[in-house]
Amino acid sequence: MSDAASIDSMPVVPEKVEKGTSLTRDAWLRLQKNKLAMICLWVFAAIAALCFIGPYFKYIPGLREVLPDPNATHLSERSQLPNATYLLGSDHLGRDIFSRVVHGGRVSLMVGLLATLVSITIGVVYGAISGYASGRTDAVMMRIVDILYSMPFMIMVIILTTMFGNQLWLLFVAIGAVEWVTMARIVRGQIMSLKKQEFVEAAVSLGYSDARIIFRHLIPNTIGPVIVYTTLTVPSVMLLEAVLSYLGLGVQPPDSSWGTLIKEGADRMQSDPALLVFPAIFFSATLFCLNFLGDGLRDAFDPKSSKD
Amino acid sequence: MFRFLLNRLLQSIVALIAIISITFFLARAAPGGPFLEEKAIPPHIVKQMEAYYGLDKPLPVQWLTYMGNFIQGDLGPSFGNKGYTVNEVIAQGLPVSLTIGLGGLLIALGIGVPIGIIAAARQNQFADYSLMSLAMMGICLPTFVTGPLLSIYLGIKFGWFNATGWNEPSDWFLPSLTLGVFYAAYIARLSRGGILDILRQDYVRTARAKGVPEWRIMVRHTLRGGLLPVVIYLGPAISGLISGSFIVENIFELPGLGTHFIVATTNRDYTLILGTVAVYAVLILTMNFLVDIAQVYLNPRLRSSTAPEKA
Amino acid sequence: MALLEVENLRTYFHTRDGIVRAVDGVSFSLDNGETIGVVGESGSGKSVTFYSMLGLIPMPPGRIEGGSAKFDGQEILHAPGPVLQKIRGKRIGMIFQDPMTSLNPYLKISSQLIEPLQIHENMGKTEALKRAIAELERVGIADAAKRVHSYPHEFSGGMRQRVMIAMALITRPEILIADEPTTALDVTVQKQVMDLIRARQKELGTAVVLITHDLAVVSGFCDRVHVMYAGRFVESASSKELFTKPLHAYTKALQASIPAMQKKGEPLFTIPGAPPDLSTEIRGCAFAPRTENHDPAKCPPDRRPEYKEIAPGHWVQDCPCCVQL
Repeated sequence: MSDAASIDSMPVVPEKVEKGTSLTRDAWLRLQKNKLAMICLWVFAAIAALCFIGPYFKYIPGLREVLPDPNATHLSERSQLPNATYLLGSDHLGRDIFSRVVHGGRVSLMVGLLATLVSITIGVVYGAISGYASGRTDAVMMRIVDILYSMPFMIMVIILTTMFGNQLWLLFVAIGAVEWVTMARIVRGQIMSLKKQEFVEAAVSLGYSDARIIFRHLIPNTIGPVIVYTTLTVPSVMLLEAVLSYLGLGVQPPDSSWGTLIKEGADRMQSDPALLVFPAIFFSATLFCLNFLGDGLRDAFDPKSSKD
Repeated sequence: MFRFLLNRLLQSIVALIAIISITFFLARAAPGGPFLEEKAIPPHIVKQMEAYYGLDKPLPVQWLTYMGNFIQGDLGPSFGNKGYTVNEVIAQGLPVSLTIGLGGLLIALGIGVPIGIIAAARQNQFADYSLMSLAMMGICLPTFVTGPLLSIYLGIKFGWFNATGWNEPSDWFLPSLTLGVFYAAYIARLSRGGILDILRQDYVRTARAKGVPEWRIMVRHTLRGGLLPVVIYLGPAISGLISGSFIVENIFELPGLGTHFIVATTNRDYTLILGTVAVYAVLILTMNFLVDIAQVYLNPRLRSSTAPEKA
Repeated sequence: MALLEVENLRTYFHTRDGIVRAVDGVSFSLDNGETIGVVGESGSGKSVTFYSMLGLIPMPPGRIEGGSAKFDGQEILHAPGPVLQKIRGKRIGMIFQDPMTSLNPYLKISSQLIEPLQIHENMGKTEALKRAIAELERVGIADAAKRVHSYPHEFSGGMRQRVMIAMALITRPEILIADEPTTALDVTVQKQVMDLIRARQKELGTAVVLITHDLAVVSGFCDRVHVMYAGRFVESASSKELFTKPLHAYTKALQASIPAMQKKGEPLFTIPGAPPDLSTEIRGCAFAPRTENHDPAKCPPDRRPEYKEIAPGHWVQDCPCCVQL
């Protein structure tokens, strides 16, 4: 419909919106109409639920067999094809591939979500302050962002992780520090345009403090782009983690993530393709769902930019 | 406009100094050193070696010395590759990395841009949906999945290329393809989006009202503005290609700069780390600078004003 | 035979939220050299009427559901793309509302101006450029030989609209469709642009269609005026008659909302309510809910009023409550 909107006197279709629907609710209603995005949402939710709940199956008799200890080796049952005991088969040490994928997924998703949280928080606050301050402060803050933008971050992260040891927390910080820059730019742009609106003038004239205006009035109004970009940041963070883990610089044994599993799989892929294929399927499916969901959310929050 | 470009140039130089300095102090702040790992060396010899390389001086002095040498193009001796200077190691590794990187970029543009154009021209039709789903799959298949698959199938199973190594002229192809596929997907999405943005503009309607045929609208009125996002993206893409080269050089066992860099970080080979980072930084900053120039060239509105729109 | 004859044109948009009946049965004709005005609020379908005729609406979602449009005797509705391309920009020129966005910012004025000549007349570059400069001079751009090589952003809004006019008329079209040509311009420039269109029309004998929401613009300019509301014409008469003897409540309301016709110091008149939602089918009279005379007893809710010739050359939607003779 938005194509038609380029004709300026297109018939106005009054949005059929129930009274009192908030921006988020409105977007949710629109998202529900996007079948592909909804499928992606549910597939991602299923994968996430499996990865986060799965590791507790070992306390539940009956489910224990579905997800056995991912590190338990059964040398007599090596490299089996998928069967009733090993749902996705077993690896060269007789470990259960399904269980390893689920446990690895927990680490990958956790890194993805936590590091995203770190970067989003930094980015939103930084961008909001920069956009609200404007003038010289803004210019300096954005110049810093410009310079950071042109930094070879991957390289910095590699130096950090190799030189300071492979602690998982460092990985969060390193990735979080990389990914906040774009968020800061997006939020700054939003705040700049919001700032010109009357409700901010009203808040200023009521004598509210700058901090209150930023955190209570401005940031909540940037929720749309923040949600969209968060959804798109998670997969890129997960990709970064996987790259590091693949290079042996990320998650270390005995812990494993999808990145390390794919690395193990790639090394043995000639003799045992399942080792590469299954973690790769889960990993790619997760990225695929999150990316499509992000696209769908973008359309839902900003119907004008929609693809059709 | 020249002021703007001069500004950008100065900014790049500041960024270069910042990157080298940060790397310098970061590397030194980390525990361990180039000679500590080798336990066989007695402590007093380590001391001697450190004195020889100037590692015993205060850090700021070392930093100044390094920057002084750097300006003259001397990156110092490599601690990890005995008997070689960093310049020599880089001279050996950089051509490999540049070849696969450039190849990857060309493949990405060669596949991505046409796909984007076709998808945009057939918006919401079958071709659009299928090409864009394909592109999304490309984005979600990381290099470390496609790389081994290509290596096994095109390399070992079909035997069209060497699965690994850097011996024959055709050895650039598989690594470049691995790099390129991921970026092709991204570029396809970018160019489709950019072109659709332009097709929505009033001036495209004007062109239609003038009776301009659709292919000419695409070529003359749309591509220039529509592919601007792709041009802008080439800046960040270089950083991505560099980190991609780490993976790809690992998969295909190539003696490139990325391999040297990874080995250098694990060996605490300070000079080589700094040298490779400096090369990467120069590459990235040069590319960003070129993108700025291209942007000004492509967009007449920027030629008279001072700052380009940010992506 | 009229130059352009449109019968019962219907153009719908098939959107996710339903079918929008943007143009729902429009008929009119245009003679050689004649000037007609099409007046209505935004969203009444006045632009879509002409865009859909010329194949300028995106399809899908747009679709021409029925009717016919004969240009110089040739049916152009549903005509294949290449046929329309030969008419657009050659025999029918168009100018648009916003000159700031209607010119391609990436291309020089020169290459945009000569494009119609290159496409439709296979003219060489040098000759076309000569024509372009002459055309620019005719629309009152000083130093045209030099300025033709500028980019659009180097021109002001009024100048750009002059360029648009030059571009639309460079092929000497038989019809010029001007879609809100002055809406985006400064008041001082508006009159200059209208005078320019008038002057060029006199020289070339072009028929002009003026699409606008501003009844005041139409008054001295057009021979005949069609008032459009909710996808249909509600009233149509010669310019003079429409201003002196408006029949339909909507026409009267439009007239009443011209600021210059109102007393000073009083609040400006606005039409109460909003245009109807075109995505649901309108059963009765579309304007009835917004008129004070609305009387459900008189106004049948289940059929749309008939479009009738009440006096010679004066047509109106014959709704008992909206039309008062």
